[in-house]
Formats: sequence, C-alpha cells, structure tokens
Amino acid sequence: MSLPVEVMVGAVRGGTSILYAALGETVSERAGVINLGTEGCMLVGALTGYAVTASTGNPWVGVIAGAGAGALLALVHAVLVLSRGANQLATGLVVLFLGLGLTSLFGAAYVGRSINAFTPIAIPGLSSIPGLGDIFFNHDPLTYLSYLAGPAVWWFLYRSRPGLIMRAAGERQEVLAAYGHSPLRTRYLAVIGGGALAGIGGAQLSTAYANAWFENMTQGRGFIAVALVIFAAWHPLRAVGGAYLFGAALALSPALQARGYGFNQFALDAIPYLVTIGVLVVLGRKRAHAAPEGLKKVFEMTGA
Amino acid sequence: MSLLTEPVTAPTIEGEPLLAVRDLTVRFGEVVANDSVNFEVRAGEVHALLGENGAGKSTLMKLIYGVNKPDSGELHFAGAPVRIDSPATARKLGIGMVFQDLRLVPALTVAENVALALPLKGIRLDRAKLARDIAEAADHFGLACDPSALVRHLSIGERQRVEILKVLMAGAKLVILDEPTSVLAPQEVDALFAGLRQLRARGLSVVIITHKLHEAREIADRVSVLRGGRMVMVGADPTAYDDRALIEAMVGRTVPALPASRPAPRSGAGTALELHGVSSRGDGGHLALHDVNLTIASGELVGVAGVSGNGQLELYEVALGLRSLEAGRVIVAGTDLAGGGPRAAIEAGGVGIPEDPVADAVVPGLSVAEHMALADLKGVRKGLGIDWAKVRSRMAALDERTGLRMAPQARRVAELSGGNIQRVILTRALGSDAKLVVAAYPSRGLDVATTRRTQELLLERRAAGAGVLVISEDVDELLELSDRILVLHAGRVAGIVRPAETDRYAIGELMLKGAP
Repeated sequence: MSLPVEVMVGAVRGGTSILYAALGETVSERAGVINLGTEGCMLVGALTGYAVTASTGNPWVGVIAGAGAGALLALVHAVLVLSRGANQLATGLVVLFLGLGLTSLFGAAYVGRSINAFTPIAIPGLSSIPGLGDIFFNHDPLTYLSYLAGPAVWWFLYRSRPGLIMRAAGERQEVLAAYGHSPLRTRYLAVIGGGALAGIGGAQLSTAYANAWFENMTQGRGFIAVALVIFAAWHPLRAVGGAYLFGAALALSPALQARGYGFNQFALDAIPYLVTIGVLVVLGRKRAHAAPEGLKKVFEMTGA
Repeated sequence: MSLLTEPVTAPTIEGEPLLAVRDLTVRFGEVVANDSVNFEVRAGEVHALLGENGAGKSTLMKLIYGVNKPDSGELHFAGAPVRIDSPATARKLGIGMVFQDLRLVPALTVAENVALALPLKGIRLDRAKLARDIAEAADHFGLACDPSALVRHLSIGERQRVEILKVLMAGAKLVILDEPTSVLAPQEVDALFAGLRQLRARGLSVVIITHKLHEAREIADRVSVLRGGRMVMVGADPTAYDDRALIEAMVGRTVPALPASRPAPRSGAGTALELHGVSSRGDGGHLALHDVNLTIASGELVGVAGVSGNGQLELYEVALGLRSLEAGRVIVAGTDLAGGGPRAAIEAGGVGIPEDPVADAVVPGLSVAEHMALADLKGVRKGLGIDWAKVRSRMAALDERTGLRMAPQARRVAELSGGNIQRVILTRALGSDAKLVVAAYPSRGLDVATTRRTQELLLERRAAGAGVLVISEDVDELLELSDRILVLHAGRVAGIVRPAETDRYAIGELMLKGAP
C-alpha cells in the first residue's frame, strides 16, 4: 500500500469514532448546549459496548447499549445544566471525569478479555477498486453506517421540522418559546441524542477498531470532536471532513514509523494535535459568525 | 393555507367592536399597571394607542395577547366573552402581535421563521409548499418577501414585514404592533403604513402603539390615550386634536417646546471633534466605518442619522477612543487621541452617553454615589481614600443643575429601572463641563418630560460651548436639535445636511440609499 492510501485508509478507520462524536456534539451545540463531557460519553459507550458484546456475543446489541450509556451520561449533563442551571463548561468536565472514573472502576474486569467483535466486510466489487476500495469499502459495519450518519444528521438539522426547532433553540430560545415549543425539552433531546452518538463512537472504538477495552482508551478523541465542531462551523458535513482529517493525522505517525522515519516518537504522536491546533488557528476567527447565538451566552445562562 | 382562500369577513355588524376590553385591572405588586381600562377595536380599523413609557400600553397589549393576566375585568372578541390565558390562545382566536424586538431568528431563512410560527406537524418540513404559501400570502397582503432569504441579511423594515406576514399566516384578524416605527427610516414608515392600509382594506384590524403623534394622525382611524394606567382618551378622532392636546393627554400637563431659534455657533471658537479619514472595523471584523470626515465646532450640535447598524455604534466608540482605528485620526478638543484609548478622550474633555447604558456604563453592584466617584476618581481623592462628602455635594449640585431627578445616592444601580439608570448616566455626562458630548440614543426609554429635559440639556451644553454629537433613530428629533445632520449609510458619510434646507424624506433617502 502506498503511503497516501495507507494514511487515507487510516483516516477512515481512525476517524469514524470521532465522526460519530463530532456529529453528536454538532446536534447538541446547534441546540445551544456545549458538552465538554463528550469524551466521557465516548468512554462509557466504549466500555458498555464492549461489556455487553462480551456477555451477549452480539456486537450490535453492544453498540445499542453503548449508545444508551452515552445518552445516559449526557442526561446527567443535561439535568445539571438545563434544570439546575449549572455552568456548562464546568459540568462538562465533571461529566468527563465521571465517565473516566466509572469506566476505570468497572472496566478493569474487561481488560484483556476478547469479544466477538465486528469484522471488516469487503463490499464485493467496490472493494477491488484500486485505492478507493481499500479506503472506503473494506471496513466494519459501523464505518459503513457512519457514511450515512453525516448526511442523515444534515437532513435532520436542515430539512426536518424537529431539526429546525433544534436550531432555533440554539439561536433564540425565546422565539421558540413564543410559538409554543419548549426550548428546554428540545435541548434535553439534543443533548441526549448527542450523547448517544458519542456512545456509538466509543463503541465503534472498542468493538470494531481496537477490539479491546483499556482504561482511557479514547485518548482525547472526545475533546478533538468538540474542537472539530467549532472548526466545522457547526456544520455536520464539514465535521465529517474534519474527523477524517484528524484520522489521517492519527494514521500518519505509524505509517511514517513503518517506513523508517522514526525520528522522534513523541513528535510523531503529537501530529494529530498539532494539526488540530493548526486548523483552529487558521479557521478560528473567520467562522465566528456561524456560531449559534445561544452558545455565546453559555457563561450567563442559568438553565433554559 | 385555508385562510387565504376564505374571504376575510367582518365578523360583526358596523360599530360592534371586534375586540372589547371592559374594566380591566392589572396590578404588579403595589403598582396598578392598568386601572379599570376600557378599550375597543372595530373590525377593519387602524387604532393608535398613545402613551408615555410606563403608561401601561404594553401591559394592556400583553393582556390582550395572553402574556399578562388581568386581576379583574373582561375581554370580548368577535362578540363573545373570552379568556385569553396564553399567547397560543390569543393566536387561535386570531390575535397576533408584532413585538418591538421581532420574534425572528436571524440565522434562519424567512421560510424557516414562518414555519416556527405555524402549527405544523410531522417530521419532514415541506419547503416547497412553505415557499408557495409564503409567496401566496405575500401577494394577498401586499407584503413582498423572499422566502429563501436569511433574516440576518434583511433590513429592519424587511424583517418587520416578515414578522407581520408571519402573524397573518398564523391566522390573525387583529394585529397589534408595538412601536413599529421607532427603528424605521421615513420611507420605510410609509411602506409599513401602506401595508397596514392594505390589511385594513381586507377587513383586518390593526392596533399600533406609538408615541409619534404625526404618525398616529396619519395612519389611525381612531386614537386612544393611556396615562398612568388609565384611559384618558378612548376612540377619539385623531384629526380633531392638535399635538399640544394629545401631548397634554399623554403627559397630564403641557411640555414646553424647544426654543425654535438658537444663536448660531460662534465662529473661530475652535473644534470639539475632528475625524480625518477615519476607518474602523466592527466587532464582526467588517469595515464598519469607511473614510469618515467630520468636524464639530465648539458650540455646535451635530446629529447622526442612519438605519440602525450602519456604523453609528462604531462612530460613537471611535469619537471617544473606545474603538481602535484602521486608518485616520481622531482629535478631541484639539488633542489627537493617537491611539490613547478612552483615557486620552476623557482627558481631552470628552464624555459619552452610550447606546445601552445598562450594559456599557454602569456597574450594577455599585451605588449611584459610587458611580459618580468612579467618573472622576482624581477629583474626589482624599489620601488613598475617597472624599465621600465631596462626592455627595457634587452630586447634589449636578442633580440641581440638570433637574433630572436622579435616584437616591445610596441606591445600588442594580435596583434601578432602565429609565432611572439612564438618568444617572445623563446627569453624570450632561452635568459635567465636557468639551465634547457624544450621545447615542439619549432619549431612548425615557418619558416625554425627561426626553424634553435631556434635549434641553444637550442644547445647554451646546450653548456653553461644548461640541455635541447626537446619534438618534428619530429623524424628527434630529431635525429639531441639530445644527447639521450627518447621515451614515453602510459606514460611509452619505451626506451632511442642514435641517433648514432639508426634510425627513430627503434624509430618509440618504439613510436608505447612501450618497447620491
């Protein structure tokens, strides 16, 4: 495999979990709530997905359970932020550490256990296209599903009625309230849905990507997802692109090492984060106007 | 939309009101906001509701729209007694309200905003049908608009049209407009009134809340006046009363007119403000001011007209050193600010009355006296502390001089109403001996008498030799006060005109279209 193809295969493989989490965070932020605990939602999704797959033998059941776990942790965030008026940023961090602690505690038993994980399925015909076949059509089912997730979230936000209500909740909740919709309910649903998507992302990591559980296995992917949402200007399709960009940066380090460019392990490992920082520096200011109005009030918001 | 195919029938016989309010009373704690108010609106009429800020106009309209609840009294709509306990009930009956802060989401399109207001069902948003319905309604009511335009890109006048259309598409037979003309250019007011006449011609009823008398006389079939929560004039013919009589009804006494003739600015008295080729960026990074040149002589009052958001805010900030320049020079009373920021402007003798004093000029936790001290810490220093006796005596003097009846010195600003905060800021700025006074919307939120007093004070500062820059949305106010009027359009000087040589339409033309 040539280096570009190898990196792009890695982009899709490594980017998929971030893609789900970034889409989830896009929905949540579009409705006006930042969930810095996305990382925690991914972690509980990863462990729950792994554990349920281990006990049922069916990774699909595992993924659904993982989505549920992510949603449940996001619900904690939603209750604290929306019903108790807690600060969103602080609460998000609390949710992250809650997820990290819970998964460390209950995950110890699963370290080193093997499960009936998802296996790559080569799509007949398509997978033999040179280059593209390896990049897109030789993956696990959750990756194939992720190809639909971006457009689906886009359709939901921009073409459906509930999506319109969600965007309005993130922009001007008082307008929404004036027409008999409940901004509170809408935001709850968005945060919970966002958590479920992050949970799926986490489950993809443990049941399809690494086929293993270990402590803090997301390694900051949840935070990358939150950053991506901003870099994507709160647009789901751009978030997909960003996830793959980060996946590519993740894949670059091992690919370079395999080719003998191992000049400094730590420098190589830092590439994905440097790429993220670089992208934010370049795009940071320009897209400011795209931010949902409600997000700009995060600091002064006391519930909804 | 079914409402478009059914002819709008006048639901009642001639003279029978569409809406009748009987002996309505609302109390907020000790305050009686509406005191046994009687009011009625006929089918197919435009009814103007006049009154000062705080007279209870908004309370009454919110009662009718179901936001407030009455303590006693009755509402009748289309001949039947009704209980309106929420805006949703009001909308179902056919009562729609266009709020001053329009209920629109700027980041969404016109169609999406309309969709939010309609009782739609289902998951999918039928965008094609929505666009067709909007086009049809726009045509029917003569309110042209583009369904796919982002509201953010529309002018205030266009947004208002969308809002009215939205209310009509939701099935309103009675449309209440809260101060709809306060942010419009004169031409836009004409367009709005043309639209309202269309609605009247189709049998709909309109209530327009305003404090501009000539507008009430122009558009309204009948006029009612609220004062201190009581109706003092009900359903009168507006052409039967002159301005004096209407103001007296609103205020309860006569308000003196401004002196019509004023001494011309002395020549050779020096300049209070010079802007040379000033360009500056707005908060969004766009060029908000573009090559602005202006000189205000000492003893001159220059007004700034423009549709809101055309660089007025940036002009205010640039003149007081609050915003950095992209190019050009700002000179306050002979001192080049040269990037010295607000401190340089203050030391040169500039004071400001900001657009939103509550947000920009006060620290809510501090008392009124502490605000006075804050403005001139050097002047009231006593060792390392503050000479509070001096602060208090100065304040008493300022209050005396301005006659604005500032709130008690010990009160925390957080406890004051918007109008009272404005009084504190005005007292501080207009009681001083500044060489340059920059006032952004100084009369916003004030009652008629305080507005007049504020205008007098601005003129007194002018007479005392200060240069005064007044930014206002109210072209009539500017025509009355200014020696010259600068019109801003898209951050450029569209023109500088003298009130005696122009009228509000010529200014409106510049406001809307820029330099000829």
